[in-house]
Amino acid sequence: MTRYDRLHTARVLLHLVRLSLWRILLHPRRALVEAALMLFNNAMMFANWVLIFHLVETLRGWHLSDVAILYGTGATAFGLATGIFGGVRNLAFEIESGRFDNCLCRPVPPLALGLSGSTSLHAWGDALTGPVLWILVAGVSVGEFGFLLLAAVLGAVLIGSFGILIQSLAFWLSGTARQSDTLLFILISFVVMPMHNMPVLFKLFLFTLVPAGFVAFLPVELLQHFSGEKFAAVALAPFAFLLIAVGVFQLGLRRYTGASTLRTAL
Amino acid sequence: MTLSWLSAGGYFLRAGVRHSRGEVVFEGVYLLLMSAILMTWINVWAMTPDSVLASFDLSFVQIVWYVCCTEIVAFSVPKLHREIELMIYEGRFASLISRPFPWLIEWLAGHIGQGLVFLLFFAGASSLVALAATGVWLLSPSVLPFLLVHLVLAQAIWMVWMTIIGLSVPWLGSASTLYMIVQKFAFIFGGLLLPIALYPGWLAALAYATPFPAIFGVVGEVVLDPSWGHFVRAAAYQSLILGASLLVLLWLWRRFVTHLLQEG
Repeated sequence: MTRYDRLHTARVLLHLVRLSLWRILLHPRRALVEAALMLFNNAMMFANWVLIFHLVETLRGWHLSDVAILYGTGATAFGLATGIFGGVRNLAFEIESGRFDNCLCRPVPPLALGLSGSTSLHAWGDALTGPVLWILVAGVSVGEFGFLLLAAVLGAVLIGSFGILIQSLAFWLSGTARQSDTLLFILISFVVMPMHNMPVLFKLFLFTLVPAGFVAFLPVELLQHFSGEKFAAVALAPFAFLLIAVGVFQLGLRRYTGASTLRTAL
Repeated sequence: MTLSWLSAGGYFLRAGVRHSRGEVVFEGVYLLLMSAILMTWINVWAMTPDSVLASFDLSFVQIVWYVCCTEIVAFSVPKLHREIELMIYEGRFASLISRPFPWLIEWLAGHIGQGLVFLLFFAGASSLVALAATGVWLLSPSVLPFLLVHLVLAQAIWMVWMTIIGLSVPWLGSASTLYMIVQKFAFIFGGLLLPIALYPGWLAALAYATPFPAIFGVVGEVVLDPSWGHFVRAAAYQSLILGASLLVLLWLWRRFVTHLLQEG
């Protein structure tokens, strides 16, 4: 890829992000209602934590405010990833149905087109959950708010990368479209839960195969005790996973555009 | 008439069982999701001091088995509201209501049959997670029939509610919004993740004013109080809620058919 290609891709991506945001403005009232509903949905889920902290003061040193930061960061990261790049949840459907062909004949990278083909209005409610919980429950300072916003953006990159990776399985395995979204929710269910009491082997799993630990758990730990190594992990892991995900997608794309897909067409 | 309806209902129930035996293979990923959710909540309860649970006459083992039992219901019921929504938008209802057999019975019997297979599938997996987490098998052979009865009744109530949500599409435009709200209320007021006995008094009273404890809480309470007395009371409570829910469904179904015949 030449420097010009990279610049072109970046510009196209930015344009597609803008388009995603404009799509919300097409139906502002509907977007507002759906976002409010998702916010309500997350508030109800968070209510379980309020009930638990009604029983205990701390969970091995974690207070309700820490869980609010964790839950909020995870929700915002997921909301940003699926709000801007809605395709991260239905790329496998496009591949399986053959509709992904539409993305191949345009002068834009197919992955960028595939990812930005749709947006979820609910996702913006998820994206708002973080700031609401950070301010109302955790009472973070302006500096902490900025850090958490950065962490959520990095988390969105990681969730998006994981999404690309599992949706790309559709290039090799048939019938995965139904399961891909569920696999993404496995990651999310780990993202929004404290994991400081989990066995070491399980933690290793949550920082490698299902990289949930980088999205919200490490940022909370960074707020509690800052460490350079942990910060580097939070900042670099999303891009490492993005590289892997794009690599796997390109491999799959080569297979999709090759003769091996003729059987699908037949 | 009633006998032939019963016999046809039994046929659809068996058909549901047969249909879901093939589908269950695809539920593997849901099994992973359920295990992930269970593991994260078990971790939370493992961090809770024993003294806190002891003050409610509970132990870590009981609370883990409680959550594992309630999650069986949450995972074993298919998203019926979505199916109905699709049937409405695709215009398939007109042909369904003109059959000589009531569609509602066919629908519920078929899905209860299907749900039975999913229920056994998720119950097995959930029990294994609980056993792995606690090292204790809490379900004695005498408790298993109690649990099965509660699970089937809970599943039937949840299915009736999902059908109610699905049939409200002509008035609401979409079922997913109402489903999202009802599901979250059901999780909180039903005691999905912690027994209602642990809630603050006012919230527990509010929870018992809703039908949701009959869907989740009652199922989990089997491991907290496995006595005959509790079983009879809980099953009667679930039957009452199921009856009331069916009445609401029948009322809505009549309005739905009228709406369909008058406005298409």
